[in-house]
Amino acid sequence: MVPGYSRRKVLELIGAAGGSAASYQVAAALGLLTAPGPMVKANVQRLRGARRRVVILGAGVAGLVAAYELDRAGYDCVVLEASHRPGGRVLTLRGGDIVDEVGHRQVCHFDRDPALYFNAGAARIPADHVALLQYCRELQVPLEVFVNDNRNALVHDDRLFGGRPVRAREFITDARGFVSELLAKSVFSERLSQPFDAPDAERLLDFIRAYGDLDSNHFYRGSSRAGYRQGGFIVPGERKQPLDFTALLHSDFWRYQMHWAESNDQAATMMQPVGGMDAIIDAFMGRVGRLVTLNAIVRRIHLEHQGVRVAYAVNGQEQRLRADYCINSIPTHLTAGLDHNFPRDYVAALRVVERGKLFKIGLQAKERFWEAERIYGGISWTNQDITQIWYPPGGFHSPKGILLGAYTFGDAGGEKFANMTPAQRIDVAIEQGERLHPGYRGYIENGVSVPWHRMNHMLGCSARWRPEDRRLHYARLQQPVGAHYMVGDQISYHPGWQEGAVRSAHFALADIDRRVQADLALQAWN
Amino acid sequence: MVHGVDAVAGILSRCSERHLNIVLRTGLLFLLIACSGAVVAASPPVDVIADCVLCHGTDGRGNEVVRAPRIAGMEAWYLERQLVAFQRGWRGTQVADDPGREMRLVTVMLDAEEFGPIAAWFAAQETPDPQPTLTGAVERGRQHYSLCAQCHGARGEGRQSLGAPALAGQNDWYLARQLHLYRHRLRGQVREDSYGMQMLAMIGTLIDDQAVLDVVAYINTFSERPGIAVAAPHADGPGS
Repeated sequence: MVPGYSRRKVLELIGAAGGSAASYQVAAALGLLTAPGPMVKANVQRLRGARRRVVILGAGVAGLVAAYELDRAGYDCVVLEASHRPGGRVLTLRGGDIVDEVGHRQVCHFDRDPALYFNAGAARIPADHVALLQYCRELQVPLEVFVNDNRNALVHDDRLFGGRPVRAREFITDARGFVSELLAKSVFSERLSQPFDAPDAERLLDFIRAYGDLDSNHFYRGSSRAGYRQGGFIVPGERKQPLDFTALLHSDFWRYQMHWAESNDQAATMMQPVGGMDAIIDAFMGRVGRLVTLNAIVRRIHLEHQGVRVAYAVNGQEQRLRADYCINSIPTHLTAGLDHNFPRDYVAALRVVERGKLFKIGLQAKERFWEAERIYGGISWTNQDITQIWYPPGGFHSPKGILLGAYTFGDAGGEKFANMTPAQRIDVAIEQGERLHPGYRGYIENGVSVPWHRMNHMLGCSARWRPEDRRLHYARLQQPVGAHYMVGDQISYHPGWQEGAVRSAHFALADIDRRVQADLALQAWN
Repeated sequence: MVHGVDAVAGILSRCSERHLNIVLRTGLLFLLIACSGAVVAASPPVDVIADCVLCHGTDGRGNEVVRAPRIAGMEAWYLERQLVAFQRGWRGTQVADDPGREMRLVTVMLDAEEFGPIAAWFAAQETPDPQPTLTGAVERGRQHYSLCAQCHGARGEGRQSLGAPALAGQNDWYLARQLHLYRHRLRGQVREDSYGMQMLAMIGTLIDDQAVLDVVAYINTFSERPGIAVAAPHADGPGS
């Protein structure tokens, strides 16, 4: 240690020169941090008397994270939100809420009961999304398990089995059985057995047998994993007949949704905040709500030699402000339409990002009929337009429940529903749900639909980057232009996920912190 | 800060408020005419303008990314006629016209009485001429344009007496898109839309996509100012 310098002082100097990441690493090396853990915190250094103003555009997850971190580091923050509500695409709908869809403003008619809510935007949190989970811990947002995968849920394809839905467990068990049987046969063949010696081939067969639940002769003859046809408790269980392999082979489920919960972002354990995803927004608003102006529609972003000027309208009245930095989470496709003076390559990058057309429907059911069908949470899949039905992951055996009645990913599906009236959408969702659950219509009391590409101040969900565009333009948008930073899940490799929004905010914050600290260090020297 | 509850209440009561506004404004208008002999255009409700600029960009400058053309500085009579056309389903009802259908939804939720003030407001906005985004053979385009010029004017300045809007200063991608719609009988095919039918009758001369590109490339030359290079603001990025 240099004589005359405390550890703390050295860290400050290093921080000024190399940013918070550098001081963090050195602090870790010096043993000043008790539990290093993964680097998921923003670590914006305190201003200690200096003044810096940051204007944050958008009060979604990225904007609120930025405001929270900067505010507690002593920055002056202003958050401008165009909508009547904070949260962006974290939208939890309850009875009486407005759905601000351009052209079809709806009111959600769920019963006024806190248990009856619908996460119309973000709806699940994987355990690997540590930056978001860190905020849930820090802001004390209670979490519960979200059931994403349920073997008792249904698989429906109107081209298969005469349109009769089957249990996911039956489909998956039979599919694995058939594939395992084929694989076992090939292990016996010359070609595949060559790289293995006899004991290894035997081990491989052990795995295949266990994977597919094959019999001792390596044949698949059905499995109790598919559920019994009858019995199994006080009389012997009777196995189901395996499904027709050709039918499985021809289904979409076989090549797509069967593997849904294998992905890192969709695998158990997943979580949700108790009472609705917007508990996260409420927690942030509890800390920084005083900095947020709602109904503030940004008109102009002008870069200056230092800092940024922003003009916005509240109730049609133009207001202007100047800030040292601007953190902008407005969708790229809407930012492109503002009065701005961005350089041409930056505009080109803004323009290439495509907007997704995700669409969701929430339905209030007067009775949890699915629980009588032994479905507790999870997703049923169908080849119809609604694509999927989600069952509430909690509140089991309570009287009513909110189903997700449709969730489409593709543009065509999103457009199809968006072009219907809200009433028509609900009607179609019920009609298609009926194919999975006979009597469905009788249970549904009301519903609400959210076409994200028609939602006010959004016009898209989620950002889509073609690989070539990402290669050419992503870095340009991730880096600041002057003092202007684009953020949000759109500027991440996780569009459509809150974690992408948090990480992109952290990325911008780290850069601002580095610049401010370098600036302050220079001032101190002069 | 406006509280969420207030905003919700505001949206809910908007329809009735608008009717009230129209009644009040109409009354005010008569009063003004009576006092001064001049017609004063009412300004449209701010939330309606907010709905428009969501897609059409600040002051209606146009935003290609969401396929919304420039409406700033266009003739009020033309804008108003198109709002009517969308609302009555002369435009924006074709399955192959997604942007048109999105536009139609917005006009359906408005009162036709508001169209005049909306059109006048956007007609009065000044925004920079859009950058060209398409290329074509200008000379061939000039030849094609000779027919267009009869209604739209030699420099695309438009002629109200013929119901033909200005083309100069419009987004080239939008012009190309509309020509495409006309060519495929997706615009101008409704009997009540007499100006649309008039345009449809003239489209036959643009025989293919290349002809469309060529004529649009020629229209682009109307808003070029010779000798002035189009500035790329802050090409290197200020302060970076």
